[in-house]
Amino acid sequence: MKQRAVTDGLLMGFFWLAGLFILVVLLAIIAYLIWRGGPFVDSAFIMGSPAGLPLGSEGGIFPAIKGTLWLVLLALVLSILPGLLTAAYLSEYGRGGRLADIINLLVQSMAGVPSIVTGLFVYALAVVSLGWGISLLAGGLALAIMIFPVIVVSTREALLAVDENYRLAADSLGVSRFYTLYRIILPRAAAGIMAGVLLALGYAAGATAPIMVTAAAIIASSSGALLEPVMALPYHLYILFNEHISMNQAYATALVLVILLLLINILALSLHSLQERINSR
Amino acid sequence: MNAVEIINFNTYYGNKAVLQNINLGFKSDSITAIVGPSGCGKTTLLRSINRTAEMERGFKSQGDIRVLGKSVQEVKNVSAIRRQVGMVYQTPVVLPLSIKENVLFGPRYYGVKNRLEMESIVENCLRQVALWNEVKDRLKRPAAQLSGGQKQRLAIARALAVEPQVLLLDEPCSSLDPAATGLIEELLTQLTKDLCIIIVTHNLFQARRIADETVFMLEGEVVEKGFTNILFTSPANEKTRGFISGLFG
Amino acid sequence: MISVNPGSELKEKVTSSIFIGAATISSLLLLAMLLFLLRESWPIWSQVGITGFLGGAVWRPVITPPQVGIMPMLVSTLWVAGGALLIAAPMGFGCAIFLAEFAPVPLAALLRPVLNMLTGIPSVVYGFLGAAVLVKFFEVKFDLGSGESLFAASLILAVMVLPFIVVNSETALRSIAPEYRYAGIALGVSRQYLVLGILLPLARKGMLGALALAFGRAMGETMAVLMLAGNTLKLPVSWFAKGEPLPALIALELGSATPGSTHYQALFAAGLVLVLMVIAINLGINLLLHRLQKGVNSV
Repeated sequence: MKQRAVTDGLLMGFFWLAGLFILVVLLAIIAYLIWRGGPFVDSAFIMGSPAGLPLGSEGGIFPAIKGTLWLVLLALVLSILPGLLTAAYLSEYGRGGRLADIINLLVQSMAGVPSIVTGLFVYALAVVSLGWGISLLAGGLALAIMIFPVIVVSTREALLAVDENYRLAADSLGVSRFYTLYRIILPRAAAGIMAGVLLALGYAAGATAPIMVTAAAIIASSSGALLEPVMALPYHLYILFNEHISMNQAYATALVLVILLLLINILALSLHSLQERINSR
Repeated sequence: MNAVEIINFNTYYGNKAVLQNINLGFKSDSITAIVGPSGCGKTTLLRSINRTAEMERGFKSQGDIRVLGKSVQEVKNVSAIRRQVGMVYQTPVVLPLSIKENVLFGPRYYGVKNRLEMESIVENCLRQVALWNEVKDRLKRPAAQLSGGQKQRLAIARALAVEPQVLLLDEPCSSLDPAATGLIEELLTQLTKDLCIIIVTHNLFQARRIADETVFMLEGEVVEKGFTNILFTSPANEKTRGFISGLFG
Repeated sequence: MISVNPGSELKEKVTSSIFIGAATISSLLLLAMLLFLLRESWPIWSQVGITGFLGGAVWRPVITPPQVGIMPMLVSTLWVAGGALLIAAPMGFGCAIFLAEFAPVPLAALLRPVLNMLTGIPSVVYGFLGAAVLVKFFEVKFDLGSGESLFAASLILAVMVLPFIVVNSETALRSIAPEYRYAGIALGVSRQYLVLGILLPLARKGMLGALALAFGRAMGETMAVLMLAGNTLKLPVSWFAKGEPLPALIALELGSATPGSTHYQALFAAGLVLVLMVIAINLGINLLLHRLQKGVNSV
């Protein structure tokens, strides 16, 4: 009996440890980045361009911020419509059918494709074959393909969470599925859909591997020219560290990147809670 | 003429037979109640008339259903059927819109754009379900704020807004209190003037109160159909007698 | 009063065709990708062959004749991912059990967003912190010339996949019908015993599925391994050796490979191998879970 109590105690301790470990990791990461990078993040850092010798050891990261924003915008524009249409098909038009099952499977498999392979594909397709070269457009395309399945999965979930009774009532009035989707389902699920899209955009903003091979350059102006290479925050971080340019700048860049993504995540989480509250009304 | 005719109608769910050999006629300008124990197929029958039963996977049917002389199986545009045959469900369902927009949901789809016309539709339908006076000052408020009984009346108003010829109700009062039930029963008797009303109910008293004719179903088959008074006082069939006296169901 | 809308049937047909079309075309993207990879790498498969490529231990694609064998990289990939699971599974399961069974509600409510935010941290930051902190630590503590190794990469990958293991395992635990819990409590056993003896076996399939998905993720991760695994082309002989998993190989060499060359084709072959492995694991798990679904939770 005592043996049992001891084991039980140890187990409980382990479970608590495991639970708190998660918290400790997150706090440690944030705290460490603030400690090491905080002192170097100021308005000159955010608004300025890379400077110093070697380039990047001083100055700022504004072109990288711009580049990331361009890439994410492009990824959004290219993936949002196919993503929403596919999700709406899976939840409203094809639900339960054979085709929908197949498409669902294909999309979920796409979600597992390593991002470097997506980059590889777009490299061959766009950078080489289509002759775009290392460019913003190619990077945007790669990121769009990467986040497309993420958008489909989360949008479909948000649509399916809408009360089925609404569809029944609308159907019995003889209105079309599109009308019901447009007037009832979509508005009702809007917050949840936005949460999913935000998370997908955050994922795109932080992705390095696909843009490394399709769009990113060590130094660029990131003016928004589609066929020019761009700087991007994650790649900039990688270069600052890998090329031993500057640890301080690296920490500062990492801090900016993480804060940006945490803000996106927090916003997405609040939208998600909002959606849950709406669904339970 | 019968507004709804069901001819040699059978339905299957997968391999299981749900409805067997249904032959029924429902007159316009009257209320017909369908009673019977749980699982006897009442709801399936109702949903077959407006062709929402087939949305379940594995559903098959044989035979014919005619609404106002036209076969519902053969018609190409299902939506037209659903306009002619309104349906009200057991759980009061209001769309997540304002009270006014709930009523206008169907009409907007069917092309009504004129503001005056829309206002008159809203007032007309809400009056028919005795809701107008209760909500006329808050038409733009969310319909979700209404009470259960009010929601159900709104659901009926919504169905009426597309000018159906037949109104199907599937146990519409089972989640409502007696006062709300009474209100709905009263408005149904008034709506009969223009509509063929078919109401599924497990409440025999309700059937006695409002139905002109009653159909008794058991295990997917029609056992007996007749004028409500006669069915309840001197039923022809042994099983009907048993059901009414509470032996089973 | 209301007219029947005559054009609406056609409109509905057109709109639903648009939806079906978009969905079909988009999902064909996956197949397009696979076919493309196959086409670009075809000469490798026809000339070197599957066993030759997968089993070849030498990777020198730019000499003449080029030698393309990815066995060391394949081993590194599997080792680093397997190692990550080894480290992450106990913690991940423990945390999932904590969240599902023992955590006080306010703490659980705090931990869930925390998990969410951990998945929001980009892989390059994990890699960077691992390289700047962990690797440095190894170098100092163990007096190594270079602290990079498969182990360092596994460690960071473990932290990266941990939230996924936790979330999926917690879902598996939560979906167990409550009757099992009541039965256990009625027997008077401790909650810990209930978890280990009754709930874990019941949630087994879901939790294994979580592990498989995490394995797939770890295999496909690029930045963390790029910055931590050491990037040598030699076959790793221990967990603490250096290696170069497939994603790192592709990321490092793609820019310098001449399009159309054997080097280029071999990188595509490597990419194809990688993606097929991950898809195979995901599909395998899906099928397994599907088939076994009928057993456990339908009480």
